[in-house]
Amino acid sequence: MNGKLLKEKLVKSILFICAAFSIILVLSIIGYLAYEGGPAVIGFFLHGTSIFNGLSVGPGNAVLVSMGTTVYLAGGATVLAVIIGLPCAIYMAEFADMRLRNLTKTSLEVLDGFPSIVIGLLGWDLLVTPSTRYTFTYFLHTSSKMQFEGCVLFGWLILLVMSFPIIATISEDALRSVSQDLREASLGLGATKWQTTREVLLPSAMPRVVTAILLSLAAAMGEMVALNWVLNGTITPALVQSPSLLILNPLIQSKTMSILMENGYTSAMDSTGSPAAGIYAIGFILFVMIGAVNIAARMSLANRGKTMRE
Amino acid sequence: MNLRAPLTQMIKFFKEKKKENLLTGTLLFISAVISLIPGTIHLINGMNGMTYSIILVGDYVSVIIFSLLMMLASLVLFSIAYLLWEGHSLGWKLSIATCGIAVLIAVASSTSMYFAVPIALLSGLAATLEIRKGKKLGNQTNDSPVVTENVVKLGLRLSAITCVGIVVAMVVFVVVMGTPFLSLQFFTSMTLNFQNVSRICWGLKPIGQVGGVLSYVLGSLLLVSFCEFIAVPIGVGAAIYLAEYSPSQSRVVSTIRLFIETLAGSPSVVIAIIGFAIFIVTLKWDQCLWAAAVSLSFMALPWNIRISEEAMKSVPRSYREASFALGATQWQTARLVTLYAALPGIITGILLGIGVALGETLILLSTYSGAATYNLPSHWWYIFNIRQQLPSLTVFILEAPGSTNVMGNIKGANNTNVIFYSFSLAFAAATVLIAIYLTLCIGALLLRNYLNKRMKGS
Repeated sequence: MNGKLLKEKLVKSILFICAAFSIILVLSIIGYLAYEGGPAVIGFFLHGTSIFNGLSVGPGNAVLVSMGTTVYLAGGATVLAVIIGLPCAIYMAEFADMRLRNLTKTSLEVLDGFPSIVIGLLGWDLLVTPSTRYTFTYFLHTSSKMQFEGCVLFGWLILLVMSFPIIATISEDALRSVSQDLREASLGLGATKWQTTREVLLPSAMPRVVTAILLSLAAAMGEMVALNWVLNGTITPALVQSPSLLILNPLIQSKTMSILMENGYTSAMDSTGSPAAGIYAIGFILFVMIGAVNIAARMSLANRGKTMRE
Repeated sequence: MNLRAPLTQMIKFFKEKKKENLLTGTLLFISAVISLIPGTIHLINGMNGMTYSIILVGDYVSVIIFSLLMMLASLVLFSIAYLLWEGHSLGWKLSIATCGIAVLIAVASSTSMYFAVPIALLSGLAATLEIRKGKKLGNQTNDSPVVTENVVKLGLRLSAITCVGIVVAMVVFVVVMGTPFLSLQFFTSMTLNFQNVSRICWGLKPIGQVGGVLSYVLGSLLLVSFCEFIAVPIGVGAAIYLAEYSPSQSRVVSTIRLFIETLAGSPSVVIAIIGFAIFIVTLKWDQCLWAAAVSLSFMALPWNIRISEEAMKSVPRSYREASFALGATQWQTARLVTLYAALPGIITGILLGIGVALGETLILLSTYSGAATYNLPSHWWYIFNIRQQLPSLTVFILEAPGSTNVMGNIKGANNTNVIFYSFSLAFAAATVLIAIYLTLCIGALLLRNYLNKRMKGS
């Protein structure tokens, strides 16, 4: 009996170590990034020293510009994804017959894990290649036919394809989990299906919908492979010299933080062959930003628990 | 869809002849017709050029999509006109939106300005007229809920069909672009030595082609299986702890969950850099199987935990209670009852996870395949060497376009057709990737549906 108890305890502690493994992992990732890139981050934000320390990736403003671009790109794509994904979720949960619902759900699930490199390849071939053949006129400064290596607009379209499945699937689950009584009560009062959805179901499913939106925002902020095909130019020089509202022009060339990191770790090696501290600094900032969004998503769910109990 | 209702409405409207509605309706009708023009022109041009210029297939497909989009816009405009005739408040909102989109198009590209500006003017005028009319009538809106219901349903259905359409269009396009290289040999041959690639794009048979990407597929599958060997035991162990051993509201568990979610959301570029820093910079290995398997398992771990935990939580409580009542310990219950009952769900999750991990590129680029790894090692035991770079499908897709190394393996590739050849090759490799992914994915979904049905039946 004693041996059995011992075995139980042993197994329990092994399982606990398995569960706690991700804590160790995340803490060591953050710790490593902070150890390597922390001084650069502090120097950049407090003293304005260049985050790249004289390496050839670009001036220090490039980091600010890429931070702005990351948020703008991910935010815009998420707004677009909500516009497409939420109606899709509503249709699947409330209006569709079983066959169409299954078809849509399956294709959404397929799209959810679709290899991002293929999406990027498609984006290059469908967006960037044709656009080199047309003349574009910039919003503020005109240029004739330009060497078009992609822009934020294309990034939106690419990220849209990648993030609306997340929003649609989670929102559909949320809408389905709303209690049937609410639905029946509303329909019994003479409301149409759309009125029921808009006035009753959407408000009560809203916390989980917000969670879905935040999760897809976090995923969009970290995406790199697909974007690399449609945003692989250089950052527009005018933008780097003085970061301004020009960044809001969707036809401008820029880079996200993840692309800057990926380009940096291959090109900005120091003499010992390790990536520059600036790369880790960007990684640290990116990790913290995405972690904050993820925690916000979690808190939205926790709030839901509270309101349900009340 | 019920097409008769709008038609009868129109006829009814023309019988009644309300003047103010007629004006706004006509304005929108004209702008809808204008919005059709550029799409049609592009479509006709595209069709003319299709037969002899292969390299531009991407252009034409995008042009077709573009024109279809324009037609969709006009469809929306027609529905706006219908709404206006109904005297619906959605009408002016939508025409303002159309105006805004047209202004955006005009700002964005000077070539389509000639079409966009009139559309913007007309729809803007229509919106103003409608708003003025609304003010004259006072604040009362005569929106019929039934009309709203129909329109909303149509819109929702369109968005759902768009979802399905995107997936189908993506798969079809990838396969079509890859056809010059696609044959049975492409899936089964280990060497990249293309003798004579067919130049004909639309589905005709390639001639005398030798070569394929099997080595890349094997390299990718090898890595993913090693990664799952690391990630699945830890993941299932963590899931057992979370689902079976822990009180659900405890602080420890919520902390663990928080960190699991953070790990799940962490961008792959960060993990790639971390893997590079640990294995290549600090330990001074080369890119190899072990480095990549460990780095990739950081990504696969949270996925496995989540899926396994969901599967275990769906096992009915009565199973566990019965097991405890028979005197089993917690570990015996978890191992023999819960894990066993949840096994189908866990396997489904692992299959899906393999599909997702196969598409991962960045981690493989930094820790598995160097930029120019194109062959499996000469002896199989070399794969365990920490200095042995291995080929992988995704890195191949990333590197193939424009790569001189790849182009050297294609007879007949030169500077003028290099884009065509390299992108076709990349798309052909992408076809293989998608084929594996879809097989895993659909297999897993079918398995899940089957098991769900069986569960319900019992």
